[in-house]
Amino acid sequence: MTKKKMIGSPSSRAVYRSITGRKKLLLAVLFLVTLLLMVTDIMTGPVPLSLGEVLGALFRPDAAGDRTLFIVLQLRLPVALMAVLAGGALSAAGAEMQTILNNPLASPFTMGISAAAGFGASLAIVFGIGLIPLAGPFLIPLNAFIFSLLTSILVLALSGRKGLTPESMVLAGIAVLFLFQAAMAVLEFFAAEEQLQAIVFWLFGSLSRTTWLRLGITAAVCFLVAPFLAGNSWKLTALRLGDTKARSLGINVRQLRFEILVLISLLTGTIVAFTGTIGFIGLAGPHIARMLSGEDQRYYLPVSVLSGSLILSLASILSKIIIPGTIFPPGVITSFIGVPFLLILLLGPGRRNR
Amino acid sequence: MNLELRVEDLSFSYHPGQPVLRHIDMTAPAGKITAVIGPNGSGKSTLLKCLSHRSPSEGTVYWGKSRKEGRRWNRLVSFLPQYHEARARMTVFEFVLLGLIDNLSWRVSDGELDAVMAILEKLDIADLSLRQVTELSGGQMQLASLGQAMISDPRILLLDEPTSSLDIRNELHMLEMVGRFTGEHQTATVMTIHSLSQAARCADHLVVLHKGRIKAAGRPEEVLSPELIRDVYGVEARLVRDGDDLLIIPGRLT
Repeated sequence: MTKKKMIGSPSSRAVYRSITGRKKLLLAVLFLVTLLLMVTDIMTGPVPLSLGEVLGALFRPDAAGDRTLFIVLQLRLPVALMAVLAGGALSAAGAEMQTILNNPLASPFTMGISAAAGFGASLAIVFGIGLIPLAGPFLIPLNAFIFSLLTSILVLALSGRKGLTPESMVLAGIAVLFLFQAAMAVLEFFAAEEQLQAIVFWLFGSLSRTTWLRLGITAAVCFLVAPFLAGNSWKLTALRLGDTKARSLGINVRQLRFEILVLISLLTGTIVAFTGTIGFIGLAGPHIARMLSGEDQRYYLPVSVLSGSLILSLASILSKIIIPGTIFPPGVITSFIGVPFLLILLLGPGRRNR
Repeated sequence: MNLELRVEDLSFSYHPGQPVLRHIDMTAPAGKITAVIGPNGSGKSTLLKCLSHRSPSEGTVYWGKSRKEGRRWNRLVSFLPQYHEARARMTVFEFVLLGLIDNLSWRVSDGELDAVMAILEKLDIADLSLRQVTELSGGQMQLASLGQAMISDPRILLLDEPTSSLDIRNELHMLEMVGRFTGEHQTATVMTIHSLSQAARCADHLVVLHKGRIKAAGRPEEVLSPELIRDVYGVEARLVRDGDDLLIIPGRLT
């Protein structure tokens, strides 16, 4: 009895603090590292800039030289910000995809959404066919966006017929993935040499097409979606207890799945439209977050976002260093960074997940 | 204070024309444990789901005078499912806290934290607070789930095979906790259970389900008989009275 008194109610706060304190620290560290990488990203390039030059251009533009100002503000800052934004958004999309489908293999990539966007883009590249007339310079991204949205709807419709269980949704996603890969092969077969090159380049994923306008659109979508994801934090956490339990807690599981999938499609569609298919972040980011912070969505989601931002920022830096003077596709690098990182976390010491 | 969970003419089918439950009428009074027994596939789990969150195809469920509908019902009921998908990475503390989901806002209040700790202490698993649920033994997991179900202070507690995977000690501990909670909080507790001896021992009322219909209902000693067990399970069994306990000793298949 005395032992029980010792663990009286004040310590409930201590226990909770020890759980959340670690996660808050983790968030702070990830945030700082991402910020550091973003600045490094701006410093790196054909014309190396010092930390002072970058900070000067950012915070005291009057005192900075025109050339530095141009490089930082027009060339590198949008790309660096896009790396952070796109990495975070893809990772968030993957995190929620894994949550609603209760499947660690789910990601925008494995669900065929990225492939659909790729097909949409290729259609525009090869035939100049747009689904919306007068799209002009946005023909390719718009096509990619629309195709990814249509695919989400298709996946939903296919799986909805069987009652929208996680298993049927994953199967439908894989079917769609294969469909679009086959369709891509057909397109590539008919494409001319330069078109083929454009397709391949697009499929590699790249941040170098970023402009302030594209960045602005992406940011707007992200900040539109974020509150909806955050607002469903507890419901999404409870979804991990299984459908039956979640239902008994009063959660409309079907509706929640549907709403979140729509939000994810919006995120993925926008990002893929502007950056091409940058793979693996949507798979690795959430896994890293889950292992580091657990699945309380109030932390899981932001940790996923920052993990994704961090990976893509790092990839953006490396893409400029690996072969000096050229930009290696960051979409390829994300896999090369992500795989070992993930393996270390999965197989590292002190892990017994199953 | 004579509240009870009342089921009137409830039928349910997953597929049209294949009813799983037919015309169920039953009551489960507050402060008592009602055990639902019956063979595999007799509709026990489905019945609990209908009492919790599934909409029955026909019939009505009442708590006192209020009908089962919408969010209000979810606040009255806690359900402990048979199968856990406890692959989520979270600590026992966070796991139990989720039982309060109806009230949780972004910032968890001190009162809510205290409630979690109080439940963990009551179940004697406070030392597991920081353990990952994926690392728990079957018995610990079941207690944590019970804590999650109890923390919202439900009027109706529904337990689907709470002891099916537990060893004899954990089984007794679990049933004792359920019994104590039922008495202290005056919940109407309905649980499905396979062990007839345990059902006879811990339940105030038995409901026997057979092929989706209620075969018998009443106090355990009234309900359980060799004839009933033969009819429902197809097993010859002897009933032996040992002090207060009623033991069912299976013989052979009929």
